[in-house]
Amino acid sequence: MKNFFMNNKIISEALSIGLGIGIIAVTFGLISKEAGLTLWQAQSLSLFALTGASQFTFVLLFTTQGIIAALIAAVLVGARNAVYAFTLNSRFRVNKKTLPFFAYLSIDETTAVSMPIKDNKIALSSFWWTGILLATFWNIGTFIGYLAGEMLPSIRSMGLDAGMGLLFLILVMRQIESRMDSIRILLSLITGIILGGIFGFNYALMGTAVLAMLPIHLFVKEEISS
Amino acid sequence: MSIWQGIILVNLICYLQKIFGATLSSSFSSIDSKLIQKLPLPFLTLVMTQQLFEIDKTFLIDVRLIGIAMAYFIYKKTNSLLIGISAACLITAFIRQII
Repeated sequence: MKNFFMNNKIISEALSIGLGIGIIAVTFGLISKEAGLTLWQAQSLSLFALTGASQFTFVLLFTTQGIIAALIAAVLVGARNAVYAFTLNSRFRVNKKTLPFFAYLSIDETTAVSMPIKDNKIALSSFWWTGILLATFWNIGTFIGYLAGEMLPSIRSMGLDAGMGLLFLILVMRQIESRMDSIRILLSLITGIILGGIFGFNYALMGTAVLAMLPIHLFVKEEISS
Repeated sequence: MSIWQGIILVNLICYLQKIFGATLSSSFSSIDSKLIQKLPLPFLTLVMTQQLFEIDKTFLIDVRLIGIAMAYFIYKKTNSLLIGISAACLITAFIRQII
């Protein structure tokens, strides 16, 4: 019975995230169409890359900056997924058969949802549910957005930008286990605002990467030893 | 380079980045893993910052922050992600309608 309720909670959360992300994908489909991509080009990005920020970066940049610049920027933005996949698999140690699909689903949302859960089995279950539902809705949303995006109300008028903001706020708050985590979040927030606000998201991403690597030996070892 | 070539490369490299990360992790011990588990936090915070303030050469304070703050309070009371997200959308959409 406990498992039943736990599974229900996991599925309900995964569904909430999937639906929200699916609506964002409607915007991606619409933007892709406006940028001149064919339906199959937009859909192939959603199906194979499955990394929203990189997809948006590529589509928004290739018309103005050219394909190579868009490609480099998209790859840079997607690089954090390598960190997610690395972290997730260092915890879950999935077998070789499921690794290709596990890596494919290693993105912001699946990492944020599963990492704070203490129980490995529940955390992995949460990862799979969130990942599969998110990938499904992301692709359906892209398809709908491409075909009928202009007929739907905008994300801002539906307040969905606030929904996504709240989702990530909650997912980040769940990661806090110690005072050091709060400091890490605060530093990342300041870095993001300053670098992102002045130079753009890619620079904020690089600054965050440096931040992610630097304090880890100073802070985390202290926590483990204490 | 054609659009299709660009898209295939984006798809391929984005996937290879993930599979590289996942494969690399198997060469680390469990003590290393303890340290590694903290790595995603700054990146997740950056994504959150982007969602909250739309940081991309701007820093936007918008009415959605009011919606988010109120909805976060509702989320803490109900402990339901679905109710929290719905509340954030509804409150923000409502404020935007009236101003």
